[in-house]
Amino acid sequence: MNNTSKLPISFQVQSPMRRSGLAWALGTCLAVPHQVVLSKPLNELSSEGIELVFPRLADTGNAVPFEALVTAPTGLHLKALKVILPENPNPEALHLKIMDQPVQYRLKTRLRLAASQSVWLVAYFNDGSERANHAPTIITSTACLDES
Amino acid sequence: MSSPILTRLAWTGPVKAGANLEARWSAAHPMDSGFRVDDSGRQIPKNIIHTVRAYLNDRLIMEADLGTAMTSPVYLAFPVLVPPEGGIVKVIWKDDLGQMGETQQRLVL
Repeated sequence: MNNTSKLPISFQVQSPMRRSGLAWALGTCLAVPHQVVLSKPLNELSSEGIELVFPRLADTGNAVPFEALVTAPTGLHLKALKVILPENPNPEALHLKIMDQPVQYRLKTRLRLAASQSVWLVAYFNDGSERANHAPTIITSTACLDES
Repeated sequence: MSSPILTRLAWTGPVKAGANLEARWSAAHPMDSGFRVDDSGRQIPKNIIHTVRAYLNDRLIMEADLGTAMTSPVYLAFPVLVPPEGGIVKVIWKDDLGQMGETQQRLVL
């Protein structure tokens, strides 16, 4: 399909430099900020059985308490948990591999947040299925990218 | 090189056979994310605890890969199912400088 014929004339006459710039810009837009192997996008996964305790407002992003209670669907047990902070420079905060086949798991930790965002918890079960839930928070200053 | 990193392991809840305890582990590690700069403007190299393993009676029950979003001091609370005979819970950590540490605590029924 030739899309360029539909573009205004000013866009058709462009230098190769500009075209590569456009390609670069497109590439950065398409680049996924975190690589998580999932069967579906996070927001299409069921959030059933995942309760998150996360403050709606935090003064700083230096230490935000996070608590998750995950209950596996009937007949399944937990294999792994992931805590993902999409706006952080390194989005994967924690990857917990659980070996003792629990049906219910309560995880507590403290997280550093670079910006106001939603924290995502992804739970992986033994049949290969996943569930995910998220909790938003607003912070007033940043922990990871400040110059102090 | 650096001072020893103090770690702590404790639990809440009754230590009874079959009970689900909450084990709380924390380490006074600097957890330098690699994004900060010091007073002279030089970047502080990344040094975080990247792996934490928890063992119950020498059986691995949990392994965690930590990212730069974990706080300093690191804090992690996870459940431990108390075996009928009791036992020992051991937590091992490793950081980017190659330092390792171990904390253990006995489950006394």
